[in-house]
Amino acid sequence: MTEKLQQTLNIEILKLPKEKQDAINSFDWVKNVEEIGRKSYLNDDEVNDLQLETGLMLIGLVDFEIYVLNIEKNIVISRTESQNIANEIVEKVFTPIAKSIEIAIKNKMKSYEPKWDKRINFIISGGDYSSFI
Amino acid sequence: MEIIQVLYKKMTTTIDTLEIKIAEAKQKLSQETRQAIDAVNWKQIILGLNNKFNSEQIEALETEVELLLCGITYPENFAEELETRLKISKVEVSSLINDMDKAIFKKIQVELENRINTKVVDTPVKTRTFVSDPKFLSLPKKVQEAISLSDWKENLYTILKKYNIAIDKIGEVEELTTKTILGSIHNDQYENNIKTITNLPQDKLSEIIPEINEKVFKNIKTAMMNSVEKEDIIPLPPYASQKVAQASLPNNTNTEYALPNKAINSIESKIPVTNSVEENVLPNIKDEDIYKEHGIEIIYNNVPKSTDTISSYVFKKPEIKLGDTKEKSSTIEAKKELYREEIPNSEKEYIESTIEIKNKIPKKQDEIKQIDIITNKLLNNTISPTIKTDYSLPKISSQNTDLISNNVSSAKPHDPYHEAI
Repeated sequence: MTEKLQQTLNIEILKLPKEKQDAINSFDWVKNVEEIGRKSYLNDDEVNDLQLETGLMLIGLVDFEIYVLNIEKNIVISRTESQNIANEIVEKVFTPIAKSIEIAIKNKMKSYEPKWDKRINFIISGGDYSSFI
Repeated sequence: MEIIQVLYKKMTTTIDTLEIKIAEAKQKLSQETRQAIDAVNWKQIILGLNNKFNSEQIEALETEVELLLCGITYPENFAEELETRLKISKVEVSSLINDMDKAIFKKIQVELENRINTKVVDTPVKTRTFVSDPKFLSLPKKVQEAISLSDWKENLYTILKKYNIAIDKIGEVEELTTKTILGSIHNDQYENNIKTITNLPQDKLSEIIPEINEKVFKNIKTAMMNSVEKEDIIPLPPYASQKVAQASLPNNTNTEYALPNKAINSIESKIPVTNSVEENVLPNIKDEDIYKEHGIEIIYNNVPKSTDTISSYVFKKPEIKLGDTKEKSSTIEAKKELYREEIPNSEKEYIESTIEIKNKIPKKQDEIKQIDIITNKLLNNTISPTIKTDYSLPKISSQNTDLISNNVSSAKPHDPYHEAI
């Protein structure tokens, strides 16, 4: 990942709620994404693109469907390959971060009662704890 | 009148469209959310929330809550919608929402959390799953599994990356390793092939080969050994399990085994004709066991209802001792008496009629013959009668002269070609 991209992403991450910031920063997602990319025989530029797309997904600028499409489109690989890479990133990057956020929110919820609208968002999302942030 | 009809028609179509929209929105919700919402009887709770509302207001409130819970109405618009539809003040709306939050939304949240947590618990801790590699399909499944679980690709990649092998070369090495695992390339050629592909100097090669051997090939071997260890106890050979089956049989010779066939068979099978029960019963059990060991299950004919009653009765009454034929017949009678006590009339008739039929069946002809021959032999009745024949020649045999003297006509037969002198 280029330094410039890293800086840009760091600025965007700082705009996120504290729980999300902590969860993302506590995890070396850049390295994990690089390993996944290397395993799929992506070259340096492609790995860089993959890290950028993942960063955009983490800061909430793109949703998962667009993320998969972007991998396919920007890294120029087949649909199956992009889906496989995305699945691996979900397993090794997004899920651990989401778990970390969930734990942080659950701890926070012990001391305060969430508002009704956040509760509704939590219900509609099917149990996404980040709705309480 | 026409205006009312048009209004009614418009209303019904609006409701139908709304219902369709709600149904569609519900489909988009997760299964856990739908279940959690359904688990809470929120319509009933709404009825008990505020007695001041009339039926129209309650109906409107129900619709609004439903729209909120299926995601059609956003939470930020909910208060405004309630204010408009229910025609109540902002303070009342705020109070109503707070009440609903405590009585409905919180309950749904708890239900949803329970479902999510249960789902997490139900899903087993991420165990290593066996992913079949099409390259290894020709190998036995156990070997495929061991290869998959050994993480050989990841390990190989890590090693090659450590020695700065280019990505395109990594692919070639992987293919070479696959062929070596499959046995299409001999182990001895592996090092030379690696050298050709990677162009590594000999000193590096002497480091990388043992590392691949250690982390790739040995890992597969270990995975295979582990899979063997995981297997259950080695099944006993048929002869050994037969012995076990025999050993597990109870020593009590009076134990009766009901054969699931017709009622009469079930009765007679429990009556040992010879003194040894084992001679009659044990071989049958052995056969069944042997068949089962070889995956053959004996399917018997449909058993009449009475059989169940009888077999259950027989197992309840093991004290009936069976001996010679006299005892046998008395036992049958005893059993008949006992059956009469327990079995319904129709079943009794069936059993009795079958017993009678069985008794009427004559013994096999071979058996009868066998007994007759033995007794006849003992009485010497089988000796065929001896017949004395006379082959003596006239004028030569001395005996013949006696015969002639006694009875000429009988000694000399009539010869039509020679006239008597």
